[in-house]
Amino acid sequence: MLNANFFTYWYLYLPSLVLAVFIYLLLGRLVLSPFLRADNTVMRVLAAVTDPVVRTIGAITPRVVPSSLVIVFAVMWLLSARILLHQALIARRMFG
Amino acid sequence: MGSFDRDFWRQGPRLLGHGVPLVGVAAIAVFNGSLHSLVFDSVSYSPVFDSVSYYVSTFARESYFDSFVRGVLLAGPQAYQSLTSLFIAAMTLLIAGIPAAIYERIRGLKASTPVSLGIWLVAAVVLSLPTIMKALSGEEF
Repeated sequence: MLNANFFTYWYLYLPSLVLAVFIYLLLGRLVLSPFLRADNTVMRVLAAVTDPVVRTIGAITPRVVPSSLVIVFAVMWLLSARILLHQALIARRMFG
Repeated sequence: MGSFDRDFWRQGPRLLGHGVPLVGVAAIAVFNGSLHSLVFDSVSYSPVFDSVSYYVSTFARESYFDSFVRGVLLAGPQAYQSLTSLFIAAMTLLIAGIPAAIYERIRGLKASTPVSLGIWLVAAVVLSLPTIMKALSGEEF
């Protein structure tokens, strides 16, 4: 999504990129968790980076939802935030 | 009384209290997202389906998802329609869970109770009310 408009609408592109990074990190954590132990370096780094997001989403998720599913919920929330940002970008490009 | 019978009578009320609302929430979310359109021919779509479909498809067309669906020969309106259905169903589940989670935090509960899961179910029904009303009035796509 990096194009000529990036520097004009950096305030919409930058949060979108940050959200995309977190989505990929969360997906990585979800995919790797069955194969790597929790004390593995990669898993510890992934957990340290994504834990604030997972904890925030965990606060608005009923406790019956298992922790691995909370990661999926977090991905969905971040994805919907990215879709909203994309719509804001389209509106900004159309109406200035 | 065998161990199966003992376990059933001990776990039965818990299974009912937790399982029934959870299955209900999932069923309501599937209904609101019109995911059952994959099985049935004519279904009622949520009034927000078209706008969400526009949001999802414009986003997906500028992302890797579009390249992916074209790469695996899944491109077409059906792919985006299914994606929209899935998205509405998932967001119904997620948004409806917020009041239940707030209730659990206010009460300081360490685990979900039948009451909090009931709140989740009621919130899902309230979110899906426009689709339910549309289905009851016989409007079909």
